[in-house]
Amino acid sequence: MDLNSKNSASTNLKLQADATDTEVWNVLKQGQSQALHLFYERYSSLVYRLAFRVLGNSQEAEDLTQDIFLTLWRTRNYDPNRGSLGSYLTTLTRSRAIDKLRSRGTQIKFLQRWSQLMVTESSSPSPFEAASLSQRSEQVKAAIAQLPTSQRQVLEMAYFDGMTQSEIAKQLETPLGTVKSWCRQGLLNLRKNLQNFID
Amino acid sequence: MNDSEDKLDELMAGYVLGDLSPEEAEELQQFLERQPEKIQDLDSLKATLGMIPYALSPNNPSPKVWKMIAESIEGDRQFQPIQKRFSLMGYPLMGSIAALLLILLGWNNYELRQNLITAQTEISYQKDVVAMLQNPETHLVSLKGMDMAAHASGRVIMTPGEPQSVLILQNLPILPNGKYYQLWSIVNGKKVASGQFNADKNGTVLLKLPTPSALEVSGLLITLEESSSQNDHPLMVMTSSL
Repeated sequence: MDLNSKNSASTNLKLQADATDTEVWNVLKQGQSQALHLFYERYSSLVYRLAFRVLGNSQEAEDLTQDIFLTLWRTRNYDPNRGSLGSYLTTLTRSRAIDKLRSRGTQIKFLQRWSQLMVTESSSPSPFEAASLSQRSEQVKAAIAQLPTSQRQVLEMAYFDGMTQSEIAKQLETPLGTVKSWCRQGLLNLRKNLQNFID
Repeated sequence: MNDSEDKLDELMAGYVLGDLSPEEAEELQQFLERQPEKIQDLDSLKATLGMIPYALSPNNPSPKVWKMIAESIEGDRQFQPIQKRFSLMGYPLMGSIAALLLILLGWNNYELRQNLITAQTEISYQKDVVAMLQNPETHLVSLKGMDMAAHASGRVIMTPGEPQSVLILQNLPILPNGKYYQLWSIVNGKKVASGQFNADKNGTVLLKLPTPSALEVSGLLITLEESSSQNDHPLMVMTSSL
């Protein structure tokens, strides 16, 4: 189900579990904290798993998750016309997580491959969230798995480890121009693989 | 797909990944001026990048996280009346000046009000800006965007004799890690470094910067710099004249 494009006239303050993100956002803007709770049910897992992947420990990941949802609530800067809430939250989470990573003064080394990221769920998401997230996860996993290893690897290093292309080139002992090309082609191929999902 | 479209795709991917060279950024701008319909492809690439975290294995925060968020929200509600005492709108004269400031800056009222109320540092900046605007000697200098920051605009508020100026910019491109903006003051025909900064996630900048005496400054300039390299010809992104 597309959380953002469902047409409905229901924008009253009583939220239904299947309200679109835009409908929920309109309620949140009225200062209704139940809307934030609904967003938390839908996206906390996504925000947390990204924070955990970048930061590498659960305490910091939980602190950042809290920070992200409080930012959403306090600033109300999200604009539904400029993209999905999921994309807004992952962009914000990645940016802040990498800032924290850099502020530690140390870089988490690139140790993990995608397939090695086996994490046990600590609690069950709501049925709605589980269906939506699991569907998206399977699509994206499949799309990424189709990428050539080199493209997948450099995208992961840049996205999750916040490494510059110069740093990646040095670590992989590969010319900078090649790394740049792998990154760009990786993103273009990923879009191609996800074309039906994006439209 | 022809070579030209391949090249455009590659440049757009580079833009989204934040790895375009200044020459490539200019090339992309020229492409998009000729084919503005391609801008939507940028959005799909941004959306694609934003999907990457969905591939991570499921993992949830502990229940205490929501509890902490709920407590913070409740705390905000209790604190709100205290914050309102700092609101500019509580003072007739200051309220008028603040209203003028909003118009001058062309900011979104709602966002500005949210930001000013919620951030103590920004309240401090408001007070400084208002105090500066009350001074008849204060200069309000416009900055206009160019090239990659064509949509950027802003003001520098500076008062002769005051050691600090307030810089307010909007619609600046958000920079990737390793890059930053550099403000230069033009003094006696020479560039004097006057501060470094980055735009926040909304492309907005609001900060105090030390400046030489306003009487000596003949212009302001903002360039794009890279922390990892010494570039003798940095890209100019905003400029002004006094």
